[in-house]
Amino acid sequence: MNLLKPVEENALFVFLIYRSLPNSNTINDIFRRINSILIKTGLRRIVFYVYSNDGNPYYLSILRDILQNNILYSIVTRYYELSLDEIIKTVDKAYSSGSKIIVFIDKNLNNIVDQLIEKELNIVLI
Amino acid sequence: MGFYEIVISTDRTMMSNHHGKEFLGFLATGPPFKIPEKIWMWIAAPKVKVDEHGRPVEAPYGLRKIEAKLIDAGFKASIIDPDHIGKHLDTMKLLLIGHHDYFSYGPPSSEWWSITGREPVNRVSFRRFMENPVVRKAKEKGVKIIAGGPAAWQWLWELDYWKKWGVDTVVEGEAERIIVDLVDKALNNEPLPQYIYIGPHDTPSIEEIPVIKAASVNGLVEIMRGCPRGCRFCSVTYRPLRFIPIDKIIEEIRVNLKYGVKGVILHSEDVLLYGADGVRVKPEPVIKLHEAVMKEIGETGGFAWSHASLTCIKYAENEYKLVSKLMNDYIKSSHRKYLGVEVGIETGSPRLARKIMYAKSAPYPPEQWPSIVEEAFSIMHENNIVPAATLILGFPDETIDDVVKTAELIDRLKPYRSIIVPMFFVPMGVLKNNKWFLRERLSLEHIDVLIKCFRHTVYWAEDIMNKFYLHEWYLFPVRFFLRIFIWLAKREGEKTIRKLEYSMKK
Repeated sequence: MNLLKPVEENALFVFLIYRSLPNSNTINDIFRRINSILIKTGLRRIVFYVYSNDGNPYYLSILRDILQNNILYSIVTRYYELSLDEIIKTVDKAYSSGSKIIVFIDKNLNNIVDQLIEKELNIVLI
Repeated sequence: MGFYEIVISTDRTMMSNHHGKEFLGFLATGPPFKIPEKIWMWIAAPKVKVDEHGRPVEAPYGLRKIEAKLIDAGFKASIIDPDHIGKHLDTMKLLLIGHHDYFSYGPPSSEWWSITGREPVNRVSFRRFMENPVVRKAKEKGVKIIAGGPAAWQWLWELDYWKKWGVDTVVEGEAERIIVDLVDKALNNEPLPQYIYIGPHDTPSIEEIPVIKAASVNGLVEIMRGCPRGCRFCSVTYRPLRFIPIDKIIEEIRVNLKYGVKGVILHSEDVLLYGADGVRVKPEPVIKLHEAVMKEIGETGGFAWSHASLTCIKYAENEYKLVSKLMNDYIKSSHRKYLGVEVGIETGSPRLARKIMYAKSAPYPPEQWPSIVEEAFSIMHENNIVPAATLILGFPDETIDDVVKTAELIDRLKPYRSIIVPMFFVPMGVLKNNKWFLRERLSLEHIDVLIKCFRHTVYWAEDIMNKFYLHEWYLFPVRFFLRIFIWLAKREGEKTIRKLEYSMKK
């Protein structure tokens, strides 16, 4: 995992994995949870790994509110097509780098949820 | 044969010295009015001189900073004029672009667009730039495109263009800390993030801000970054306050002089706050700065402030007679008869001032805001300082009474030479999750403010042109077209006002 200096170092890694579009309430709830982790940990940077079928850059319409409402934190967004292998690979890399991780995942993606739960990560079903 | 693997560029509305009169550049924020677009563009943004590689003699300051950072890091990077990018097609691997207002969503472009229903020329010009066959060819060849600058956020609202034009990464915020690593990763074909927002914690220190390598548009040099006033509609205010040391400022002025740019624009959110103690002006650093700058540019160099706060103008004059001292002892000369500056009125309502810009009036209380504005205008008028003032209509929670108070304040500013540009609220700063203010939400009171601003500005624009502006012989054609424009604007504006007044009476 080759991080962009300095904005991806000492960051909270947020995995956002979904097939069907989260609504705005869900997005607001995600940001509330992220915010509380940032306040607790003192971290000032967020890296979003978004896995979906929205396509690049259209996935940003989901994050637009978060990006528009934020002033304080550095935010980086990265997009990938939905792929179990890719998700597991990136989560493992992030985990081994010692980064703080939180995973928001579409509750209908059962096979991915099962695999991630085994890793004892902070997982929130959306 | 090209030379640069990193080309930094932008469209013509940005890559211009606006005939040495940056205020003319504001015409690019509107659609062409009763004048063919080509002439409109020529008035607002004429082409700049370039060398054999297509490097412009003058270029936007923000692009110059990125260029300097990359050159210092050992990259083959240069700003290239948009008409000359083709010269570097064979070597170019990265195209970095910057803009103040890519899609005309910023003020005042969004306002002219909303009122006239026609696209402003800066949006048209930027689209033309991105769809230029040379830029398309570069993209087909695999050149990566990174966009940045103060309008980076606008890409979030134009995802179709983002996709269509193949933009790889958009960077929002002060980029000096990340640009070298980002460019390095792009050149090594590593996967790039799509969006980067640089928070206040990651803004560069003074040491990390490089000195420009070639001239900036009209000699603009920054003297500080950030602002301590905390206005809720502004994003700059959340970045830490940093004063650029005088020797670094002088170094940049010397770069400009070396490239033949004889003027200086001191850039800051509030020039009089240079070296200040919080929001209280300290005369010594401001005087030292002006002394040092004038020593470099002499009697004949052009000089302007980018922005100053009305509070500081009043405070500096009342406490130290600083404004008149600066004007009389340093700025005014046989060649410099006036000083241009942008100032923010924003509202005439003390209630709204307290709510959205509590510290803009500090150290005075927000309740005094209208009288601060009036006194500052009077001080500027007496000292030949010509302000281009902005005010904002449509703040969240704005009431009719707030708008009426703004109209009353404009009436009180009648005797003072100035331009007053009303702008529609654009969600930025802490208020950036609020709704845009567009034509559909205009009330009769808003229209009254627009009319007052129009009449004030047309009256004083003629006076300013007669007394100070565009008197250089080589600017005669620009002056000629500008006079036609003012005459047309006055005629058409009055026609529209009569119609509006008639419908308001009904």
